[in-house]
Amino acid sequence: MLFNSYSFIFLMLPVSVIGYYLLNRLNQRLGMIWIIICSLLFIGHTNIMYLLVLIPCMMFNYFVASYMHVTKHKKAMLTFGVSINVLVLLIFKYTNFFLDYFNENVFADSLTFRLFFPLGISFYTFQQITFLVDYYRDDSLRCDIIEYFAYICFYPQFVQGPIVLQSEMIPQFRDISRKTCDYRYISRGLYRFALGLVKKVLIANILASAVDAGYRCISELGILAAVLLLIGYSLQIYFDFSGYSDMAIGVGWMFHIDLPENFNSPYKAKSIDDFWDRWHITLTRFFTRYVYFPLGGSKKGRIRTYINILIIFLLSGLWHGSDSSFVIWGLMHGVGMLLCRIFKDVKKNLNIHNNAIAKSGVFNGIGTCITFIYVSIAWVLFRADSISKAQRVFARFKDFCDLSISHYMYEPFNEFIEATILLRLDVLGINERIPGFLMGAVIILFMIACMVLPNSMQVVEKWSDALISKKRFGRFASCLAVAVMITWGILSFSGVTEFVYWSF
Amino acid sequence: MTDNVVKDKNEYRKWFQHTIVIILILCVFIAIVNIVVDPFFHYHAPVVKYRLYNERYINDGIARNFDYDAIIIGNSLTQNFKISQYDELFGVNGVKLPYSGANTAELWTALGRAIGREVVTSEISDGIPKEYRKQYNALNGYNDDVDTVLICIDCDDIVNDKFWIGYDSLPEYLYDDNLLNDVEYVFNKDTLYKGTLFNLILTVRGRESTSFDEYSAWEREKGPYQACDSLELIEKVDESDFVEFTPNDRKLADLSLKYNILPVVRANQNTRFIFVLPPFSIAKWAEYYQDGKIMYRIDSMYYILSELVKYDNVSIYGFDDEFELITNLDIYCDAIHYDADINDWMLGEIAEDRHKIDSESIEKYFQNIKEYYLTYDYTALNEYID
Repeated sequence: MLFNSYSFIFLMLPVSVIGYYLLNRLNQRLGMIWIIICSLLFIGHTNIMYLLVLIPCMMFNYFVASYMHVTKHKKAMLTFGVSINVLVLLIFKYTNFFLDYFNENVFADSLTFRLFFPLGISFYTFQQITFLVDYYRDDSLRCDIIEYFAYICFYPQFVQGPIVLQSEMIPQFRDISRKTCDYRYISRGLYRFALGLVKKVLIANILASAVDAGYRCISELGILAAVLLLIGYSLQIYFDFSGYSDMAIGVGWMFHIDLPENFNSPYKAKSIDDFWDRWHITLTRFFTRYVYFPLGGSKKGRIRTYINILIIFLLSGLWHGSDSSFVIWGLMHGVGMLLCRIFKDVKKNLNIHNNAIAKSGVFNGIGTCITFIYVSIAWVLFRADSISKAQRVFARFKDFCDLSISHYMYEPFNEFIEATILLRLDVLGINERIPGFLMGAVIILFMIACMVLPNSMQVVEKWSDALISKKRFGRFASCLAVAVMITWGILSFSGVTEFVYWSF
Repeated sequence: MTDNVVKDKNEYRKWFQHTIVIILILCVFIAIVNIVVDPFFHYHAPVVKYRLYNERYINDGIARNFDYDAIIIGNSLTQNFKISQYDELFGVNGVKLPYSGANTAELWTALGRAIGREVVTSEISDGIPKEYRKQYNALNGYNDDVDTVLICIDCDDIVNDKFWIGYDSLPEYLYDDNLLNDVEYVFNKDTLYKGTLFNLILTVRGRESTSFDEYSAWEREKGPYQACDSLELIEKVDESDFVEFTPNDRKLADLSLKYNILPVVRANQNTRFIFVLPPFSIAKWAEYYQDGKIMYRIDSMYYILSELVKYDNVSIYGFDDEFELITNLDIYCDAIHYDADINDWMLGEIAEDRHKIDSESIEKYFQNIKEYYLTYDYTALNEYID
């Protein structure tokens, strides 16, 4: 089940939230059990097999953690537990990759078997590793199996994170003050959910139409179209992923649970390390705390630090996907991080901080632009199915003379109702004179918005602070705005596909 | 708890409640408007002016809720038929149900839903995947009073049919009886904007609804270069390279007849089925020639038609022997799609009972076209091939 589905909005969300608070009135344990039941329904709704992987994994980890408290061989148990988790993840993530390879090179396409990919496994495996490691490090940690199950499969964060720590979740589950319905939280949750919904189903989807079309006709792209493709995908992936995170945090608030922030205006980043402090924050935290520090972090000399950084980003690439393009994507970020470190050292040595130019913020502006360009180039590897496809995209940047935008790219974009409405407003006929103008303008505007405007977290905080002081009309306006966002989001779940026969 | 905190909480509660109420009002309003206007005729016949567009969303609604006693159904070659002419020549009240690029299974499933079909239980030995068998289960159609059905058939597709609908974006929520998945129709911005709002504007402005003559009709650039666009330079093909219509192909054709076509024909004994073999251009025949499939094509047509001709309620009209028309590439916009005038002319010919293929004329018809297409000098088309 997805947040952006009719069954979630009309059924799962209201039933799970109302049921949670009603059962909490009877008994707080019932509320927790309700969360687990709803989460398992949410996960198993698409494919019951997902549960057949998840439930044994949760049981295994809970018993490994419990056993760690009673055994003398704590470290061995930890190693065993973490290894099994990593092994399960590797099996589900890479089996198909190797099957495809052998099918193509050895079995002449005669293999038909493919392993299904359990929903959320990349996230809950990491979450369970953090649980084991934290249990190993801190003897005082204890939780019962219901709390543990609720922590791992709590549905708002299950599919795409954030990757939460037990220290963030279990104390909240135990907090009696969080068991009652708090309209401040619910209202903020609804607002945040609305923002996420708009980002995910309106902005990301409309950008995806142009990006997907662009990737289908790479050979038709001139340099301008290729630049728009590059930026378009950077924005698509941001709005898609951060939109989903917003919805997750919003639903979490509806349960009176705070989930950690996962995005903090990443395209405002002034450098690659700043970018990773803002993009998928909980993943960065996982790699930093549970991989980078155990490897020695930056305490074992400069060269070892650089190697550790490269290892982290290599693993990050492998976590994101099994294709070699993901590895290169990870390494690009690793190299970017190294360059940042070196540049910072140089800046420190030359004492540029006190320079008048540095104080004017010019470096920050340049840094933001360079970071965005670098990250966007790396996203090509992330989006392309293969390195050769990515190379074909990069090759389009050589065609400096072609400033046209392929109609294959902007036509699917123009099909969207929102674009149709904007085209109707184009009384000057600019889009007719410059085909693809609307698509280009929208992409550029969204890019600027990402770099200048406040993010969802800041918007909700500002709204929440101002709501009480607002006059009646202001409050009604904000009700209406959120209601329209949610309703329009719901209306966008389904579309009408025009049948495009090759000729007619 | 201080008074201020309580007051703040009340403000948030009010804000939340008002927002939920507005969402509910908006959703209910949109649902009511979409259901009342019903641009895809999913619930009822039109109550306002309407636009006929997007065949796969609208045809099932037309079949279910319009008043008619005759149908024209088929792929893109039927799109230019004029229902007004059909009504006049055949004395019927018809509707047009075109499906661009449809395969045999899709067309006959749609027709079966409209007028009913026999239940055919598939056998494992037939090799039809289990998940596709359900489409053969419909029994009662929407309309028991259909006198005439005119359908363009494509014999190539009958032989090669895969027994499932090839179009993978079919809006299932418009085709099943599940009320719950109607949310995809009722809460759908495309339904609202491109359907409901468009129809309301048509009505308010006093414009006419789309006629069935206009529905899906098209006009495109025509000429020999367009007709030969998909061809590569033609070279002489030796007869020994011709592909045969094998017993295995015959079995495939039998399966398609058994599951797709005959259950509908047999279930509607009082309905006259007019099968039309549309005139493919000589460029299409050149393509068969290049692929060594001239005899395959002719033999498969012969086999299928000789099966269909046995039924009293079937009339077949073939235009492959209109050689002057077929070799006139000025009227084709590609190898198979012809000018709208040809649709008019064909309807006239059918109404006059000319070009009919029956058990007596079938041998002569095929002898005639075999002689012509096997001896035609296809290399003459090379002047139109880039």
